[in-house]
Amino acid sequence: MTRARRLAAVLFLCGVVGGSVADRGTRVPEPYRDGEYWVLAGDFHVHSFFGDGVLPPWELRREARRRGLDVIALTNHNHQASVVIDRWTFSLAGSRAGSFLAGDASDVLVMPGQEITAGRYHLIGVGIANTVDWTQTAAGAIAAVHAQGGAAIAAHPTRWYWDAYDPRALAGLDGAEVAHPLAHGNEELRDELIEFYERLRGAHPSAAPIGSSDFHVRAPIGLYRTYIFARERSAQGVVEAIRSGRTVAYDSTGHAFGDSSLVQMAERRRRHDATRPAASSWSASASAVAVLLGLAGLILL
Amino acid sequence: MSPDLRVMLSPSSAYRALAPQAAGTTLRAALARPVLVAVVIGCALAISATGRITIGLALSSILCWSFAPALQMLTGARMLTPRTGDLGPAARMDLWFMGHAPWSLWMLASAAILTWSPGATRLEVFVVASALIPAVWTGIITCAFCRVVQQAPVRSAVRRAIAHQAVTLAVVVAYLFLVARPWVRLLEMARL
Repeated sequence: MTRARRLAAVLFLCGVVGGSVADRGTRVPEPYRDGEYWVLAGDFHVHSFFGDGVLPPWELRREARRRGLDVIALTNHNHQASVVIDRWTFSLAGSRAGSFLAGDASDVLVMPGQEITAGRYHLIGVGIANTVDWTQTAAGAIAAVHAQGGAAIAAHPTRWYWDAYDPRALAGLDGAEVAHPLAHGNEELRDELIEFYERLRGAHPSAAPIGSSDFHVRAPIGLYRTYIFARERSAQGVVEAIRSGRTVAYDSTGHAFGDSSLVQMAERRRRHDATRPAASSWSASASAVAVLLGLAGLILL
Repeated sequence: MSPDLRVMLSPSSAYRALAPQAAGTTLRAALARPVLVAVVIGCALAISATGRITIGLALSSILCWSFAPALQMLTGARMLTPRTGDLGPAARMDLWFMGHAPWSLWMLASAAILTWSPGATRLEVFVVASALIPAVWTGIITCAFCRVVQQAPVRSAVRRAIAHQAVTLAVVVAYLFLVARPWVRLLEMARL
């Protein structure tokens, strides 16, 4: 190995080790309660590896914890393979393998879900144990989600998807995504998401506003998040809160959607989160740069 | 200049110079490049997704995405099978994986762009579209491999390179169809 390659290898290793050290500065978020509610920060639209996301479920847990999320839903397209894997890795939590895979982020609630992907609608089913058939109508899929005790959320309901949501479907929906990376910097799409949500509220006044990252490769998990006001800190508590409309979401302009009293609680939670010391972003970035440069050096030198 | 960079910049002359030197390559030595490719893919995707890297995150991502270089070995199996000459499978595999540089550098550059560009923009479309560059470049390298290492005639080398690219593309599309179900949306658009 030439001297230059050795330097590149050292740079790569320093980057990985440095990144690990930098990451230790992240404080574990404590459960947050306001009055009668647990105020949970959630992302209900997350894709994982063993799907078309790049991170495996156990790393999504860690990333969720790092980004101050209390609950995520694994929602791959029309299958739940990653849910099965998450359950298996989580069951190892007591073992040495498990402590690597899931143990240090076991406080994040990972809910089973599915992005029911049909031609003219995408529907998030949160808290469902079995895959929902995508070949049915939106109304049929919503009913199937409810039959499993889950919550049905319209995913990125831009104009393209509106026709699929007939009055029966609108009456059945529990919520809709009003904040989504699709609408980031795109006023037209942002207006379409809001218009759909207002139509939904016309049919279903307690419809839950939802903010999601739709994480695949980029758009960090929790970029847009939903604040849930749950009576119990459990999957059932989260579903009950969504179906009762007790959520708040913020869009890219900082506008809050949800009941005004809940918005005030969400604001208090956000102020509380702002006091959390985060891992140093510059040292994390520097480590990532070192890794990329080190690998480039190993290729080129 | 590394052999990988030499192959990237001048595939035919690089393979002509490197092929004789590769004759004694052991299997263990030949695995170094596929492992490097797995590390590149794993780390690049981990950084793109989180903006950071840790030992655990790197290991998890490398483990999950190691199927990519493994698939490359499968799709390139015909290239690795000795037909003429005295280069064994290990030497051929080492020479074959020397052509990884365009894709690996594209992954690293994409990771840097996606991680440190502002906000959720249309940049993803640009990054995906730019994949055409390493795809075409790899086709040229594959053709040179077939001509020099496989000692195939020019036309045969071009056919093999095209066939390999087609098989690789088919595998990628099959994977996407399996995990993202885009055919559902395509069907609907076709009906419209």
